[in-house]
Amino acid sequence: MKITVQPFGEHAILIDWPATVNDTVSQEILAINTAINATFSSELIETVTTYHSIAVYLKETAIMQNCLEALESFIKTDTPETLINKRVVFIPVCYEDCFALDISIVAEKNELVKTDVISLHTAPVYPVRFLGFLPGFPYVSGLDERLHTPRLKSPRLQIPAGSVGIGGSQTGIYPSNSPGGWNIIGQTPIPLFNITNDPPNLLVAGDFIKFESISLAVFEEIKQKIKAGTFQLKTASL
Amino acid sequence: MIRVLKAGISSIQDSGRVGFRAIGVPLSGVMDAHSAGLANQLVGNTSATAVIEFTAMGPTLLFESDTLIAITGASFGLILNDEVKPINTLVQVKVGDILKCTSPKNGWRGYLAVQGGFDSQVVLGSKSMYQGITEKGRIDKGDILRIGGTSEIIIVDNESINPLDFDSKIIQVFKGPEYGFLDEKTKENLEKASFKIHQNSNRMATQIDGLGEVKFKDILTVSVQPGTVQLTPSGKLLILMKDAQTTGGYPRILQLTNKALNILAQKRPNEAVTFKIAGN
Repeated sequence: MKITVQPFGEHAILIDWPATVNDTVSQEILAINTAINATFSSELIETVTTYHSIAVYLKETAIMQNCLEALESFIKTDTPETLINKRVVFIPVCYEDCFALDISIVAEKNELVKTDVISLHTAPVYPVRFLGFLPGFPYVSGLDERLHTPRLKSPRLQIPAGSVGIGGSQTGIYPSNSPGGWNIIGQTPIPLFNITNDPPNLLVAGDFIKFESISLAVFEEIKQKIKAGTFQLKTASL
Repeated sequence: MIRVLKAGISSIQDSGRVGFRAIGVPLSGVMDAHSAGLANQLVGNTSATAVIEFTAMGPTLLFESDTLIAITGASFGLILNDEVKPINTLVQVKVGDILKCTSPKNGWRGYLAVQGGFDSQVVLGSKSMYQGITEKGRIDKGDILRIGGTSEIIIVDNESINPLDFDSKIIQVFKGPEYGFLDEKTKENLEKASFKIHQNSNRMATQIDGLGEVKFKDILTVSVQPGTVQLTPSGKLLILMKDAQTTGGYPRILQLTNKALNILAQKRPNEAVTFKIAGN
């Protein structure tokens, strides 16, 4: 596969794979990203991965031409092993009407009933490709085509943190209160980003998530447990 | 200690929240790093020390301890008690002194450094205020700003100072990763046209209207950074600034040089700029 290495301004380098969303590319990117961070720690300040790219942000003291050449030859010669992380994080979601503002839009658009929406949404194990947009926001792929629904015509000014939505072919969770144009189908009581936690993000690129339907009573119970610090996050290995 | 009598539009900023962009946390930090660095240099701080950044309207401050300060950036008028003070110089303040700033004649952002820096909340390795990350997103009237936290002081002589020249209309850029998406006419327009800074510009993005509707293919979400110029389907240009998101879904047609990013931070709404692509 053709990988390109090019400058991205004065102090950054982009490593690009052909534009695509798939498991092979994502896993290769995560593995190479880990290797780059280990090998070039004295030249870089941080890296950001997306679907088909790694942005390498360099220290001001790093010499662009040297880094370009070093990364180019690194990409050619290094074939890191696939990452071992196959963590599945279970995300409880209450799909009841008090949270699911737009679940009927999603159902009607796709000629489904609400319970179909819930079972189709909770069925897959979604890979987390990367975080971006808002602190802690996971870009996941794998939403069932039967749930694809266009964004709202006019975005809402305030969506509560934890809201689970569908926007076009994407599904995701709002980590904080924010404006948003996605169709809201439920809410999770679990914080995806909490600055007082170390690390503040619940998910990392390479994780998988599995939504689990919960009742309003369980939603409230989990909220209480989180508040009391007794909540145990359910995870598994894929 | 410094008591904030009037806040203006101010926040504490340092060199940014490095190392957390992979979890979606914006870089933040001073918009005009050159001017902020100069303010720190004048009082003897290291260049990464936290300063007060103010935009269009400066704060009014009551000093509750003797200290040394410096103000740089836009040409704010400074009045210490009743005495006019120059920018870009070291100013001695005493307990009870009140500093006022009048609107800048030229430029848009000012920087106030205090010897020893500000002893304010550190979150993820940075004092830069950002709503949702730090407790406060901006400085408010009545706030108390504690001084201290930086011990290394190296005072330089005033002759070696080098303020940023931000009068030039020219914004130096590199071609961005999706520059090739543009048709020849748009490429030509980009370099020939004069663009006006939109009122809706802030620490997240400087907005510019003017390319007209443009047709291009959709892209997948990609990495963006301060200085990335995104092109929206309506032809608007979004020049991402320090509080920008870490990823975005619009083509990245240009990337500003670091110096251009500092200059742009000093451009006022309705001011005109032109792009010059490096190497052309």
